[in-house]
Amino acid sequence: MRRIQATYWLTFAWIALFMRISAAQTPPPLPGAIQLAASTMTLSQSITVSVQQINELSISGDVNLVVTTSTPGSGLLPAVDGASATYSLTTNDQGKKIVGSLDASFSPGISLFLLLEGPLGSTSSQQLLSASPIDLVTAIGYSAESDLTLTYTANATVDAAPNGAGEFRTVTLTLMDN
Amino acid sequence: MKLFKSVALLAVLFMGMVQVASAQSDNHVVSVEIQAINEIAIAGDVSLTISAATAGSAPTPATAGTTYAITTNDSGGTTRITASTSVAPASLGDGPGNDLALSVSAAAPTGGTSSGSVTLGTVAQNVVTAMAAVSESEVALSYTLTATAATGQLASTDITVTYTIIN
Repeated sequence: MRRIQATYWLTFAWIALFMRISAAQTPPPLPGAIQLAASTMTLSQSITVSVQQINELSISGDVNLVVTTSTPGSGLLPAVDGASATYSLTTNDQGKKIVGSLDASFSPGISLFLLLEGPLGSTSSQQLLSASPIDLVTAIGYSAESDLTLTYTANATVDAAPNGAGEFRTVTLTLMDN
Repeated sequence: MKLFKSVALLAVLFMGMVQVASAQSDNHVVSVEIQAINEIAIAGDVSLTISAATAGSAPTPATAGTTYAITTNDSGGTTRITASTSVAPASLGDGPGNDLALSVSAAAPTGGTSSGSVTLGTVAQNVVTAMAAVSESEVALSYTLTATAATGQLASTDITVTYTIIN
C-alpha cells in the first residue's frame, strides 16, 4: 500500500513538473522600442547654378533720310528721322558703352549725326558718324530695355550734289566695355 | 509479484505521460509591425547656366530636369514633400537686383497633388501634397533658373536643395 502511494506521489510530481515547464514556454512580448519609427525623411540634392556675362544689342528698322528743302539764304534744311528705327539691349554687367560707326563716309557735303536714347542711368549725346567708332551712350549698366529710339539727322551743304536714289551706308552699333 | 505490479504500474504511468507530452499544444505571440516608411531618392545632379538673352529682354531662363523615386506607406492623405535651399538664391549674383530665382516643379506621384512651379528659398515650401501610400519612380523634377539684367553675373555655385517627406 505504501509503495502504491509512493508511486502515485511520484506520478503527481511528474505531472506538476511537466505543467510548470509548459507554462514557462510562453514567450515574452516583443520589445516596444522598435515602434519608434521616424515619420519624416530628408534628402539633399546639390544644384549648380551660374549666370554668365550677357551683352546683347539689336536694331530694328532701316532709315531713309531725304533732304528736300531749304530756307532761302540759310542753306539746306536737315532731314531728321527719330521714328523709323529702334534698338534694344540687354546687359548684366556695368561700365558698358555703345559706339557707332559708318562702313564708309558719305560724299563731300553730306554728314550724318546720330542720337541714341540711352537706357536708364546712362549718358548719351548726339555724335557725327564716321568710319571711326565714336561713343554714343556711356555708363550703361545692368539694363534690359527695348524700343529705344535712334534719331538720325542728315545734313547737307549746298555743295552736296543731288545723288538720285541716295547713298546707302551701314551704321554699326557696338555694345562694349567703357 | 508485488514488485512486478509496481513496475508495471510505473510503466503504464510513464507511457501515459509520454502520451500526454505527444499531444501537448502551446502558443506564442508573433508580433508583426510595419513602421512608417518614407524614402525619397533623386536620380541625378542638376546644373543650370544662364548664358543668353534676346536684346531688350531679361536673360533667357535655364531649365534642367531629373527624376525622383518615392516610397511611403502612409495612406492618410496628408503626406507631403517640402523643399528648401541652403542659401537664398536671390542673394546671389553680383548685380543690384537680388532677384535670381530657382524654382522647381515636382510632378506628383499617383494620388498626390503637385504644387506646380515653386520658387525655392531657405524656408521649406510644399512641392507635393496630399500623397497617399505610393511606391513610384521616374517622377519628374524640373528646375528653372531665372535672372534679370540686374541680377548681374554669377560664377558656378552649388545650392543644396533639401527635400523632406512629412506625414
